[in-house]
Amino acid sequence: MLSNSPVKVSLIILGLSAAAFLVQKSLMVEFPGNYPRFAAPVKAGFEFADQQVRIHVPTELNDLSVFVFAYDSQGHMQAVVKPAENGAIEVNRGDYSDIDVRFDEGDQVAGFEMLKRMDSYTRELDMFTALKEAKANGRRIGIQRCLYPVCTRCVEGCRSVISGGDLALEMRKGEDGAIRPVYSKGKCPRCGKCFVWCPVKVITESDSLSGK
Amino acid sequence: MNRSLVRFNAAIMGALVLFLLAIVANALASRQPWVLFCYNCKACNSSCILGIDPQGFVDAALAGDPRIYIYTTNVRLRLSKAAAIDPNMVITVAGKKVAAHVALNELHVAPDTEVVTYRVQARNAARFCIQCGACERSCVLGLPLLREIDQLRAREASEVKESHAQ
Repeated sequence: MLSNSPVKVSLIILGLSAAAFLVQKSLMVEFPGNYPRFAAPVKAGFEFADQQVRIHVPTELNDLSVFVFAYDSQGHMQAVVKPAENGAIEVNRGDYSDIDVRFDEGDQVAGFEMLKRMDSYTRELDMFTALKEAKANGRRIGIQRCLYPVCTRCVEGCRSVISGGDLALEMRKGEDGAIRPVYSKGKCPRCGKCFVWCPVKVITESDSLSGK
Repeated sequence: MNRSLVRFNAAIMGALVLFLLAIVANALASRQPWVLFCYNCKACNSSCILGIDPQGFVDAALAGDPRIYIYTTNVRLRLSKAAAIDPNMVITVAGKKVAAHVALNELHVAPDTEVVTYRVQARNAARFCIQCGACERSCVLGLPLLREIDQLRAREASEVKESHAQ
């Protein structure tokens, strides 16, 4: 039977697949079944100078990359990814916006455009000017630790276990202009994917099941 | 056909087979055999907000070397930090693309100037990666790029830990 070449090939493929599975097994993720917990919005103080906006943020954000955002006259969110260092983020004149986010009437993201492609910008929107104009015209500016809509891992996790569109987790624009998760505990299947997959730890594991 | 040409063709074919086997061996040694399926379609290329070319991670696994330089065109950091991570990291400062040590020592750019990366080692790109999964979502084959990034980060972290222990 083993002299039959299709059988040999099948056995070789099976063997290779088993080897690949064993190699990758250590990298597989386990999901603890629990409810998620959500980080509070980031409080930031804006200090405007001639060529720079200095944003004071909590030191817990040090070495993390966050969105600095400002809304334009069309209601779009302009945002740039910036690192926080020593409790501050600096936006200088000439720092261009990385994304342009559009919203629908329900304050959900209708779409977004990445403005930097490789080494050039498709549109150069100066973030310093955007922040100054938004401030002058009473539009919202702020800091967003969650990287939605660039990162959608929590929503994808939720979608992978709940069929249809009635998810336990939705992303909406808050009153301060930042996009954040809106959670419905009654719909939550406690799969744990949202907090295991959240790369910026805006969503973490709740202690509700352990009773702490 | 001329016998010497036949020998030449056979030798070239042999060299090619060895080269391809080395790629397969590297992919297996990197514990990322799936990278062999990547055909460099570049669908993932424009999905990263940090300008990381995820195909570079695939190249790192195929080459078995996490120190190869890959495009990472939108990570902002201080010049001093860039030079500390890797002095040969290529950065963009005042419209010029130079190595971090050149900007610091020859162009005398202030160490606390914010610069934007251009080409960095794959292991450092993995360290900068925010793990949003945009590259995986855009991959037409659904290749597990985040696993490779996780592995590079873990390897980098253990190397840093070892160097501190020494």
